[in-house]
Amino acid sequence: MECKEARFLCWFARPGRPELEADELSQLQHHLQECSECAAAMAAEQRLDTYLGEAVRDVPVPAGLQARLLNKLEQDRARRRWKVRALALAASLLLSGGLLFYWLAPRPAVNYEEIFVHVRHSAGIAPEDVEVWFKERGLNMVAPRQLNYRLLDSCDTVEIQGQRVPKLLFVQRGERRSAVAHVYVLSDQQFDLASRPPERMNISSHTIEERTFSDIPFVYLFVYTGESLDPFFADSPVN
Amino acid sequence: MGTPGAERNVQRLVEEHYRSLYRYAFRLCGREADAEDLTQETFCQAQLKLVQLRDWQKARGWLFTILRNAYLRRLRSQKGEHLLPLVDLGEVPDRLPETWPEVDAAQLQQALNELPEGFRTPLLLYYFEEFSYRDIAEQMDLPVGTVMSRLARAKGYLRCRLLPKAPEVKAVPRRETGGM
Repeated sequence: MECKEARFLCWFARPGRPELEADELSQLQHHLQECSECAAAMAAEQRLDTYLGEAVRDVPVPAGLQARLLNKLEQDRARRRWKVRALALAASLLLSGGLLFYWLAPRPAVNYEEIFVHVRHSAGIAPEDVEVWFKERGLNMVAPRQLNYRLLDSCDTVEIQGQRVPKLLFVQRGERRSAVAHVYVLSDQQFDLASRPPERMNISSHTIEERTFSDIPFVYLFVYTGESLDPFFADSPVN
Repeated sequence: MGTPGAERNVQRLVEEHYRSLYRYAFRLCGREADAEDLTQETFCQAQLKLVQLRDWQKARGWLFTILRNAYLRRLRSQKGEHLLPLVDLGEVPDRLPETWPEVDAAQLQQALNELPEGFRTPLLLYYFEEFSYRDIAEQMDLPVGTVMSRLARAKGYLRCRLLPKAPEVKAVPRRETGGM
């Protein structure tokens, strides 16, 4: 090791602390044993560290500082406790107010006419009237003329997968049993009708069957009881 | 919130570290009242963040970091602080004088105040609490080499300010106002 490098390392070597790499320290120590000038410089550097270190550390600590710090910390804890309690109180008041408002808020009385608006009892009305009724409710649909509207019991709108859909209810009343057909009118603007399930399937006592009619851009999903859909078509005999 | 255990831990932190923190704060800001405020702020923040202290052995470094950050926040809000531009720190003098006078406390603090914070902090940590270069680098988020270089230059500056000049010593930084 040359003197220049040794003098440089003297700046950073600290007695008793592993600040230099082991091999650097070893080389430095070896050099200092052989070079009295560098050894003197190293000693002077350490003397300077002691001189400056003592001066820098020589700061009198004010009397009573510890007590003041602890007191301040206690005040700080008390203030935070108060703040948390105030927040908890505010939150509970807000919650109580909300619950009170919820329980005491006026609720509307049941309006039967309002319900009646949504379900049209429609026995015997013409298909054109059915279309108008749905149009007034923002739903365009075509009522197939092939169906037997003398059996139409009611019209309604239902929500299927988030879409409002027209629904017709046909009822064929018999002496022993009645048959019903719920007809859902599905539009390709609302559903992907190309990937729909099989045309006919049975679930419990109901049969689900879809029909389309020429020149009508809707799919009609029939959910019905009874043997077949025939009774609900116009050319079938009515009991 | 303060549990009895947390409260005891904070008290222990105060008992063990308030002196060194106060001294560090004093050397950073140079005024008793500011140093006491800074020490208080440090312990208040430590009390709030106590859950972050997982290794009690690192409490001292953790507290010093909190104090330095608090100091830096204050420094940023005091735009008119007089600082010496880094270029004026000059070269580190190579030789030491033969005789050394007793250190004048006011002159020492004045010299420390003139150092930019980025130079003053490693010097204080080095002398004060005997943090290793690596500890100082971690606290200041700097490479170890940068810390060593800054420390050498800051030490050289203090030497210039406090010791009589040896014939070879050329660099005498002049006081200026300006940024870091």
